[in-house]
Amino acid sequence: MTSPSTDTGAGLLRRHPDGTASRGSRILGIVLLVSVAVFLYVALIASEPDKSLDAQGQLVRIMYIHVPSAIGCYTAFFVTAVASAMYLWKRTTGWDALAASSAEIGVIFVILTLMSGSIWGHTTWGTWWEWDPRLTSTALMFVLYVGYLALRRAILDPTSRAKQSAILGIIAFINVPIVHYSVDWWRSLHQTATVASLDPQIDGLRLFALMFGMVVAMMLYVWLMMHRFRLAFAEAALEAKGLDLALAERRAEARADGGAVPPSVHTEGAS
Amino acid sequence: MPELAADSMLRDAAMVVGKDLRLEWRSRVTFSQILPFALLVLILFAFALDPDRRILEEATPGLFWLAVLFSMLLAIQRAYAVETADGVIDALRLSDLDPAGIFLGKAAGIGLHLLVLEIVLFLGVTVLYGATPHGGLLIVVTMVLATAGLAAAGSLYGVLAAGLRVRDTLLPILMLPVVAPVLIAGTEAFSAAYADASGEGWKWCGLLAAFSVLYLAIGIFAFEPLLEES
Amino acid sequence: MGVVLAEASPWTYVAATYGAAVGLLGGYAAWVIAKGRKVNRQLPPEDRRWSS
Repeated sequence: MTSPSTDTGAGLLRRHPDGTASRGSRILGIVLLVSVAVFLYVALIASEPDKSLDAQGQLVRIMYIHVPSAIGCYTAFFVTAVASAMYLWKRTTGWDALAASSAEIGVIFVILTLMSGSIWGHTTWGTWWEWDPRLTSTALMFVLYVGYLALRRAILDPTSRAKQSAILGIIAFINVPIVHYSVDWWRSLHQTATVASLDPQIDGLRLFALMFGMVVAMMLYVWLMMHRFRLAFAEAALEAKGLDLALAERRAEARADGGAVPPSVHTEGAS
Repeated sequence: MPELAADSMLRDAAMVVGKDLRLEWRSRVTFSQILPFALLVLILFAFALDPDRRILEEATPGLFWLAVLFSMLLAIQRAYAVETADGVIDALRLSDLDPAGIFLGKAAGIGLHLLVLEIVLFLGVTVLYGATPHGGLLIVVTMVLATAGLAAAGSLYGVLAAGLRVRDTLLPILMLPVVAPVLIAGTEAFSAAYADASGEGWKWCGLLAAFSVLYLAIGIFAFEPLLEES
Repeated sequence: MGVVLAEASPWTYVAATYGAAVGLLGGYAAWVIAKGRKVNRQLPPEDRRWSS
């Protein structure tokens, strides 16, 4: 294996020696930046406002954020569920780190979905929150995955944390359709004209902006995952090292109690 | 002599539920603490909403199920507090009991406690909020199905949170979004029963039944790895 | 406040949405990268498997 510190690229591909970037993630990052610029140009400037929404036709641009971020969070939570199942099968740290990273990024996307949905709702309904079935079930999904992340923080032992959160990661995803359909059903009973969701007319460049937004969201998801996964992996390695260190200290203490070895062999490195 | 897996599962479940009921009989924690809490919640709702009976009566189905959910959290915490104290959970793990049987036993114990709570709460809303139910059969079926779902989910999430230092704060946030469909379905079914329109309510019972079956199945399969790690 | 918002130009809402998106995702990305560097600094180079 080559020493990692010698090859950090040059020019645009130059990377921070301590960073979580790799050659691949850097290339994807550059493509992503260009795509975001193109997306912003198409979404905000090039595409026409939606004439079917009367004077507020510009508001259709909110959809180019709202829909891709919703797709992003569903993808992220799906990956969490798959990685959780894979962890239960393979029992390797990587799958656990993948599930955790994906859930965190999913929560970020869910927040964005809720914010853009609420802003859209305000323009349509005049209030920041209406009990729209889609928005409501998304809010519940948000709390569900915040709970998942909370469980991860609560368990200290890495193996136990990985196993329990893998099970929760699967159950949480099973919950998503149940919550969705029950909320949908619940609202359809009380649905009044004021809460009708307004579906804008999307074609031409508007359709392109929406589709391209989804592509950008996917690229962003993958790029964030690369970095977040490596962070999670490094944290796991650090945790394992800390455990080894603690064990070594214990052993040294035991030996010191025996009086044979001076207790100074283990102190360096504990930063 | 080979024994059917289902038989031993049910026998172990009966053992666990018997133990929990004996414990409750001796300690009376549910009777003397959780039950009064549930009634207190009903009184607090009356303070929050206009005690002029109209609002309370209209909101009775929702308030009933909210009170059930809040008391349920206490019941689940109690059900697993008795396991984690004095390393009993290690004893359960090391015992020869079928984990699925332990799950069903804990769920049945929680369910029985919940049923008692619901009966008392039901009398409470009838007396305090002056809501007169129609469709008694729908009420009973809704209660039984919802209790099964809540007990199964509660038993599952209870063991997930058991043994953690932050279990008291973690359990509500893990559990309440999950049982939101039960709150919706229970409330709608009760609304139909109170409005004397039982036909509307039965389809919500279908949702409750599906929820219960799903969580019982998940619990039976997922309890073993969870128990090992808690 | 409510009246002002109701009469705000559609562009205000669009700007708020795009601002939130850029701020949230950019902020999160910056946090991940900064945290990654911090954690990596505590690890010996041979434990960083991707940086080859």
